[in-house]
Amino acid sequence: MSIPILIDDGLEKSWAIVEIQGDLLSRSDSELFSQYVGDLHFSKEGVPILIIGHQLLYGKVVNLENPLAVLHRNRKPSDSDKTQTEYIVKALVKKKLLFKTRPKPIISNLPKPV
Amino acid sequence: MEVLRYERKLEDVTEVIGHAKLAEDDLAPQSQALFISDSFEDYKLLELNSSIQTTLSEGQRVVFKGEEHEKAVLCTENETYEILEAETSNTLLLVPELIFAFPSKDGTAQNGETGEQNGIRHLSNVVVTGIFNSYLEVRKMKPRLRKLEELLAFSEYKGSELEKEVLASAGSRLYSRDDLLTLVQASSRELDEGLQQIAACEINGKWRLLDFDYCFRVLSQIQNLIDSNSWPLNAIPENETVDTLKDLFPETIVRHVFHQFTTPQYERNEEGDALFELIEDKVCRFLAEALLRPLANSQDATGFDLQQFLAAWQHSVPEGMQTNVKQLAGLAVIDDSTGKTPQVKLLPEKSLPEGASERLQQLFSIRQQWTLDEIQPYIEPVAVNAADVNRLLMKHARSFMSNGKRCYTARHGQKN
Repeated sequence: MSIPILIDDGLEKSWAIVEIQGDLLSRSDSELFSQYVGDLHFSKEGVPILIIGHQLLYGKVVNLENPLAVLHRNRKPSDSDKTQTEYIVKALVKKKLLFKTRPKPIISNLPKPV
Repeated sequence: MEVLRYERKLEDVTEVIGHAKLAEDDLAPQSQALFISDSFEDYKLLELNSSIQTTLSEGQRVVFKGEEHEKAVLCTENETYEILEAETSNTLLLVPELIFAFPSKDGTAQNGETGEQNGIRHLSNVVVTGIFNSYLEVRKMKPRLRKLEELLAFSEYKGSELEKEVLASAGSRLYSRDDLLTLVQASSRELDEGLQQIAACEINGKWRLLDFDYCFRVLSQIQNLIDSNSWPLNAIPENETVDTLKDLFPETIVRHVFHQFTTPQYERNEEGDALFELIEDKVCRFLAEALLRPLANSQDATGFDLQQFLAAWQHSVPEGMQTNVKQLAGLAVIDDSTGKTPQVKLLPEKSLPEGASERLQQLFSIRQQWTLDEIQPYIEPVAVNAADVNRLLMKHARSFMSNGKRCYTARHGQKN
């Protein structure tokens, strides 16, 4: 059996990946769908800064030597009764934001010194 | 059902910047709030090398290939790649519309054109459309051509009179090139090379192997013809050969066998017939196999006495050809372990396992030690390139010097 890989006509070239250490978990243990994750900033020097909950992460922009293709499985009905499967390359990811340093805790409720 | 979605406001963002003790002036004015999408599409991440990327963007055929019990591979028109799942303990968030808010080189903000936007923080929502802990990696590999031979082995061509019998036998099915391309884990180019390597022949649009004995009969007739016409070995006329033998064998077959064992001379004789030269190494090797085959099929695994074999072999080849033990590389081995008269044993490379590690294990079970020259022809076919032969030997065997020759033996502690 062979499954073709085809490039989408509207191939996206600007998709990115944000890579963080560990896993993303919801505080209430609920599903992650539709949830807010955090704020992303760039310093004026171009350093990405991610704030998730009470954690502050500094990262860097990495150009991927080999891009990652985002494949979407597509089942299309063919002439016979069988469906035909193909993979469509929706996007090529050429850049990622890599956050691999230890997060810094953010302490927000400290009483102001008098 | 209405989903209550959290809305991130600019004030919240600014407040958190304060809590985090970041100076707003140090940050580019574009901030982005990350949300996870309501649902995920069925996405996979595949790492592409530049060669696959070029192939894809040129619109050439790239496919995943494999039957249910096989590990899938990726094939371009020319190459085959192993697919490996690279797992990572990191989490990869796929973000389609991420903005790289880089400042321009002179330090002013990029989107400062409108003037009033300059320096004022603005917030965009960006959506994560997939979360991954692994992606697919590719690594170039040799095509899995063993299956090609296995598929074709059931329907070896033995001559027109036996065709009915062959086709009626169990497991025999005829394959077109398209059938083979779907079934065999090889690229289009590699499949063609593979078909050529095993000397497959296209008969009525189906690819077939020739039965060894049948092929031997055709070659013998060609040899006889050369003898009786006293043709020089480098000036054998193609059409005359085919015409003379076509009463004995189908024309396609004669032509196929003729081309298997000859190389064109790009000259013609007075009749305008194209001239070919018999390939010495190929003919000698084939005739050696013809001598050794009956012994290999018998129960007792004794070989052919080396001296007797060399004499019989030289006698069997056309006059003017010189046999040489080098022609046996990858086909037979000479067993000269001390205390015995040297013996020749058939050991075709293609009878060994396809995996390098299993192959070496079997080689060392046949014989404890091998010189580099002896073992090389058995490793080359499973190695990606010349350097890979050394790598495989270093990985799976122990090397030592004996009488000034590099020898290999099984690694200690490797069982089976």
